[in-house]
Amino acid sequence: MERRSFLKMSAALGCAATVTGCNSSSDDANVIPPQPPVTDEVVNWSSCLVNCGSNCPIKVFTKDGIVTRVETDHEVEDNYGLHQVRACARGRSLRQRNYAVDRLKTPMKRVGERGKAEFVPISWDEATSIIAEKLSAVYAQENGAKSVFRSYGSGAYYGFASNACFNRLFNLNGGCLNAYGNYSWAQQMEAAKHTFGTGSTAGSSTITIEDSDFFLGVAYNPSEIRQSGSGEGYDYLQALQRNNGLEVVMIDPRYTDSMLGKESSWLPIRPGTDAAFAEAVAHEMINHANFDSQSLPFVLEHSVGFNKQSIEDQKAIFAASDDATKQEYAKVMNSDENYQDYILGKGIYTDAKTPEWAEKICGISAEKIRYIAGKLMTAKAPYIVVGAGVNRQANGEQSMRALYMLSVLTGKLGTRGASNGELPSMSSMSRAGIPTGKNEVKESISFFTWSEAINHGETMTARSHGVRGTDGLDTPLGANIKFILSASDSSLLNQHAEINKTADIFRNAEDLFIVSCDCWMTPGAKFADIILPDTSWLESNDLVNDSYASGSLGYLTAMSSSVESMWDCKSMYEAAAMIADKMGVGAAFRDGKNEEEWLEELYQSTKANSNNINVSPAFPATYKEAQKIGFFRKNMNDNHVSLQSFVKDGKPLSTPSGKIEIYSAELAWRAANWDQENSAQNPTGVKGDTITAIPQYTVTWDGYEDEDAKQDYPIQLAGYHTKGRTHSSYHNVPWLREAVEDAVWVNPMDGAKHGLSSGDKIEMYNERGSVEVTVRITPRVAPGVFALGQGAWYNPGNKRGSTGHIIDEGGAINSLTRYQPSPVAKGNPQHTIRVAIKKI
Amino acid sequence: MTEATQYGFYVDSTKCTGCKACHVSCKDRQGNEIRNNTNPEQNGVPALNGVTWRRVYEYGGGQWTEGQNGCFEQSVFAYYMSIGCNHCSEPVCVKACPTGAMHKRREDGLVHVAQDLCIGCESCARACPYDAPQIDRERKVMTKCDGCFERIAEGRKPVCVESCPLRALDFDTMDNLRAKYGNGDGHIAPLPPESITSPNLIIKANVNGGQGGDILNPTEV
Repeated sequence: MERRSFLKMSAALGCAATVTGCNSSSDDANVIPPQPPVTDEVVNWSSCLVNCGSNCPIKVFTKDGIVTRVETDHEVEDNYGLHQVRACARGRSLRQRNYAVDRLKTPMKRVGERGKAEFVPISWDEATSIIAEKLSAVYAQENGAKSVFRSYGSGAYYGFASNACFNRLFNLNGGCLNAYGNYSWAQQMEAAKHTFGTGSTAGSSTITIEDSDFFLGVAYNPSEIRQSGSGEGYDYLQALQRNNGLEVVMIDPRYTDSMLGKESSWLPIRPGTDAAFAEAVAHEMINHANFDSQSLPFVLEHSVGFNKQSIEDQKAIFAASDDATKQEYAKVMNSDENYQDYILGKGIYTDAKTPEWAEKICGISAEKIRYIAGKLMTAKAPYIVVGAGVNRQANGEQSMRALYMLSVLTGKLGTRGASNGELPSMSSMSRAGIPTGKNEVKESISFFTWSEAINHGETMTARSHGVRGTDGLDTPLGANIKFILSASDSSLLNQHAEINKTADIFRNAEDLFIVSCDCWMTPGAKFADIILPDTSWLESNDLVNDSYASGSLGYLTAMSSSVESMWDCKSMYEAAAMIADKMGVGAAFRDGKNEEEWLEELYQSTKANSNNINVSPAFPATYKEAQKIGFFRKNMNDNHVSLQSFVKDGKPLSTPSGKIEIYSAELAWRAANWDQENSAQNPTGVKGDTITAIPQYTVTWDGYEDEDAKQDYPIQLAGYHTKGRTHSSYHNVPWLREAVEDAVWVNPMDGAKHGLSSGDKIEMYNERGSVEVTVRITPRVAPGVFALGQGAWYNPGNKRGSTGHIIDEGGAINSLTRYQPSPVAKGNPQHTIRVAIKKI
Repeated sequence: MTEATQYGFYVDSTKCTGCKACHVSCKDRQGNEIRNNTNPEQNGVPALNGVTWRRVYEYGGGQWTEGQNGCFEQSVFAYYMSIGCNHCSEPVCVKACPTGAMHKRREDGLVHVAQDLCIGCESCARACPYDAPQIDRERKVMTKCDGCFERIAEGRKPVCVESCPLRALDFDTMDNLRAKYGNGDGHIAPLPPESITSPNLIIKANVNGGQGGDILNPTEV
């Protein structure tokens, strides 16, 4: 309807509205629809299975086999601790998503060029025969199993009929190429591993914020990323409300929904400059009056690398070790590269990392940097948490490690209320999943390098690409990827970096065969050779848990099908089983069980798991009965205090030294051996593609300080997680597109500078692509930074943009991102983006 | 009004994160009631674009200035306000209606549209300072938040309230709401003055309430 200014006109109108004209209804076809006769409403439990961190339960109401509405958990009194698990707007839109007009309805075979979406319907028999034939041919080649790859696929976290069914299929035929890491956390996982010996999600439980007296959140945004009404976002709100008066300092290029008055102050920062900020805070902490008495004893006892002596001591221990790897470390360790000298500009370092140095880079004033350092040094239990946005940058490993240092310098780790900068630890209920069997392939590539492995897998090595499972640094992987199975997956195109590059690889890869198994015609599915239509969550019987970031409450949903399988859709289990049949391993795949028997077996195993003890209500005897109850919950009593067992109980960390590694011996070794920007052999020449033993702020390609890119592409573009999607999932739901506008956020100062107003259409472009997006002028983003929600679906039109690429009218941020694996993790730097703009 | 029972809403703007679960769950419930939905496999589920019975206003403002050395100085704030219909005690929509279609129910104080009497003139929509009446262009009749009266009859809360992940919404008789929450903090922007319609709406004000700003998401409401 026509929108009025909400407040402005109301005073003028008051009660004095007058009738200004009446349009009588003339469209007889659209009078009030007749109410269908009342029939019994049927209720089933389903679940939202996307990759937001929570699998919220969905209560599905059907009449006459048609879904009439969905609700969510309302089965218990809503008392925090064992509270209701309320789905967010996405879960509430599932009826529309289920019946989306772009649902895949039948298997299809490609007949046009890849990406043109020209397909013809075929039968399941023909589709699975073609796939079986292609797969068999690949397996028949030398190193064939290493050419088979199941791409990422985080769009449907089923327990039984998950995309792991395809791994089961592959493993019955010789296996498939492995991948390590993930698009969310790749670089921070490496950063945490080389600092604390952890995986970047071992911070103190959210609930312990109640005992903190100073909270520093860097890119921490649970209210938008974890929207579930029992997830991390809800726990965060609850903790802040219990600890009323806690000083909350939030650092982010955007004024996020995790703020909105919950913060004491917001300090906007330029994307990718977090390490400069962190180093200046560290500089002030080290120079603080309390440091020598309060922090230094802790630092010297519990870490390696703060000063020269600590590195010398560790080097001697490694040299005397009978572990060959540690002896190798000792050979490359250099105590001149110690953290204290680096921060203070002493020894081999000339420039101190002063607040005055950092403020020009990060945009946070020296005064505020000093304030934060003072707070961190005087707080009894400072809770520091760094969101994953920091890690998805060019050389995001450095930024994460630089920020983790601040928690070490406080000397307060191990105290309840303090945390080490990692994401809060969370536990989940356990559920059994489809067994995948043993993979005979031992090699593993970084998840991010799959697109490169299509043409260069034969030569990729540990030294060049971080390939694991090969012998030594220079044994190549030895095979290109020739068969991709992409199921519940948008990494195939939309969510991988540099869409135009990936699309070109697909168009030119004659040896490659791509199968897409999904519910909807995604941008990636358009590049498939065969499409298999999956059943939706609302059609499925399955067993799922609460996922990985669902806060302190654990839960399980025994999903039951609300509607018969629609059109010619089949579950991923059935799809994989049919291919297995064609390859002669059907009996082994099915293991003598039908769907019901599989679910019963997985249920019994889940029921027996000790982690699930004391679930409410109690598990009934059979899965069938569990489906009738539908939903089970348990307070997991998360109460983790990060590094407490190390600091208080002396339990060594799983780093090589057993201590916190400010100076990482493993990274010193990689710095000496892996390909980098200026390495002696095979220099990559990529700006900022460097590894250092201590964390160091690094100027990278397309970063704030990249003088080569600044002129042509003056704007830093920040990608963020929009509330209207989970990554690319739910993009095709009109209700959500209406509720959460896809517009690029522009600061009013930039609006004035570029002559932009809300609603304007602009082309944003760089050398890698062009997108067309709508402008929203808002004070909630820093000047010089534009912000665009990631995950919109790539939709090439027919116009060419300013750099010669077809303009993506869908506004997928990955039309602008760069495929450039990070130095340590070989992970994704998808938040490092520079663009120029042009009004359309 | 002196009816024994008057229902109303409570909104805690310190908790709301603008997630739109209320907005979408309302469309799921009511959208299905006003559209024939016997063949969604063929037709999909209607988008009902622009029909938003519950709207979540993003309100914010503040100034930016360039500090020394390119540092950022700002006073930015924002908060959300989720509004359906406040089932006002002095409903201007009812007064504006030329046919009597828009009416206030004696038994519970809910303001409803008798769709068989509605001529789709949108007078009510123009009168309402909350934008509660939402025209269904396809059928040319007015629609609005009906307080989920069928759920209330079953002892449930409206679908928006039960959907709220942050527990920022409540609904009850005004007597019960006042007993539980008091009279609230008064109506902050972007809400109009209560004097216009005597809304049955208790607000817990965001700490940022009272500052001058703008609605930042006009296309979403």
